[in-house]
Amino acid sequence: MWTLTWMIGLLLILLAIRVPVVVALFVPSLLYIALDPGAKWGVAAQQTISGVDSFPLLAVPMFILLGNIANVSGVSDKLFDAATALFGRVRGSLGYVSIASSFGFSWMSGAAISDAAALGRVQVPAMTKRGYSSSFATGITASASLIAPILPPSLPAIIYGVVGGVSVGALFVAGIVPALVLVTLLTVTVWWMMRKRDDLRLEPVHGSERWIPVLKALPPMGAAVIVLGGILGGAFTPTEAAGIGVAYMLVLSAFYRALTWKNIKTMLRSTAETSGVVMLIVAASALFGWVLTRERAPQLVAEAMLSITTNPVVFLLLLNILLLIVGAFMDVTPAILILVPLIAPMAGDYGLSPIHLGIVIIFNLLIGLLTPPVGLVLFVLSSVTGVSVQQVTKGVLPFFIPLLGALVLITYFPFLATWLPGLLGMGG
Amino acid sequence: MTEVAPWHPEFPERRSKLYRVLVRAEITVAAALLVALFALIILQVFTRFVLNSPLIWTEELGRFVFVWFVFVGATFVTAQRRGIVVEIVQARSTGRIISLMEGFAALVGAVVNGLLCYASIELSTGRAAQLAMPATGIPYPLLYLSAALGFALLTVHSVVNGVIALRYPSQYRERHVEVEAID
Repeated sequence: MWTLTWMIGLLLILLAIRVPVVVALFVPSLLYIALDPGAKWGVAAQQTISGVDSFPLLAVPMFILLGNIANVSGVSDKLFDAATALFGRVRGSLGYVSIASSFGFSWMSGAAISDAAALGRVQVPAMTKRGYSSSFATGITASASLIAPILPPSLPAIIYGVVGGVSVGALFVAGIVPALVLVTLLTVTVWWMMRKRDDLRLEPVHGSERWIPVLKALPPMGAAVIVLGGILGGAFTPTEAAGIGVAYMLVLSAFYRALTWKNIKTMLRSTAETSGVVMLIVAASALFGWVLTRERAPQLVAEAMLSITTNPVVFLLLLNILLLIVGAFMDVTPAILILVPLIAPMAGDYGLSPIHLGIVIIFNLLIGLLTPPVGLVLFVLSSVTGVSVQQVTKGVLPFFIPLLGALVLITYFPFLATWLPGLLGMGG
Repeated sequence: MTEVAPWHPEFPERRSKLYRVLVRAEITVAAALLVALFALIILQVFTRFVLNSPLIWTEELGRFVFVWFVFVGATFVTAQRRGIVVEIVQARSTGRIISLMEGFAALVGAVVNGLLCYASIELSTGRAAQLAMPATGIPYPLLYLSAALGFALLTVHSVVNGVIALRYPSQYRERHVEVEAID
């Protein structure tokens, strides 16, 4: 237990003094090897490399690339136009449009930040121009961006699947109902906030004006059909589905005349950059996880937790509190990589499904994207819209009610996550 | 080439032509590896569904390319100081404390990366030197070379980042001011 204590303590101290997450993960692991007279340095490199020598992980850059191609191809504009044509007549319609656009874009993007950046650029100016407050516009855009990392393809689900040894396909499917729960609660909140705003209606559109934008938004959704259909039909692994999705979207962007040399360079560079940030942390956490396993840390943590409570409801409550705090300070990926090797083995002890636990962990940490001091979505939205971080934060506040409501439902009603994978014979 | 402030991700590149060439090379190689990854995945699907004769080496080669992609991709991200940092401590007044913290973090990074470079070399010259990947026949030392090269470059970038952090403490104040300016 002593080794575990000083390793975690050292990690936290390094993180607190602004040592990059990847370096902070390496330091305790290397110190552990240095203190072990029987260990060779080569093992550090071996464990680090083996952490990324994994075919399922190839899906990460492919799905990031898919989202980037969708972004430069103007898919976000098409989705926004389609949703506006469908829901424009309703009171406070652009609030619903924001949720619907996010929901559509989420089938192509696995990260909240790309969703917020792509849609915030289109939605927020359109909403403020039509009389919505900038805090409401950014608040709903930020909150709806959390649909992306829950709905397939979800990047946190891939990371959790690889680290926790859970089927990525099953996790993708498990995210669908929780994402629908979030969509429903956000919709109800928008209705409540907009119920007296009769001034916020758009002029009704009819005939071709209504259906042409909808038809234009359909081809990009083909990528979602390929990805999800391919995985569910057993034709592709998630990695292959991601590659085929990229190929489809490339053809589509060529058709849209968006496949310029400048755009190609932007897409490749941005994908390499995001992947570079994330994947070296995966490699570092593999070494960290190896040390933890060698020291029987998961068993020790499980014993300690079981001595506090054997009740799964209390365990989940403690988990919620822990993850919400961690999520406020740490990005989703490193948090999953550090915590999952310790938490996931406990699922069995409390009779929880690893798929349900994965969705709970991911959703808890995602809420941290909207809370200072490390609320990345807040900063991204502020940067693409020019609205102050304070205004964005203020705008997000009312949406914590549906977000926390969804969290409670997802946490304490496991069937929301496990029903669909079970129905499709993917476990649960 | 226009001058940029020290906090700008491309600051060291704008100051040194050699450094710019190095970072551009890292970006180009990472982008090329990404394209190769995509091509291998498509080839795997194509041979299985269209030719009905899947190749046995595409997955293994894909993993090999991916490992290289990870270690090369990490280098230019570090060079441009885009790594994930937990910012509990925020910049105040002069930015000196953050400067010292960032300098220390970069020093720790340089030591860690140097050590991992050594570990990768030890691994590739040890027992693994005689081994090869089963389907492609690629010698394992070639796989481990990715980490050795990646960590060597990360060491260089960490040192440069440390120097910038300590030499320009005002950059952290400037960044703070810039965020407020947007607000």
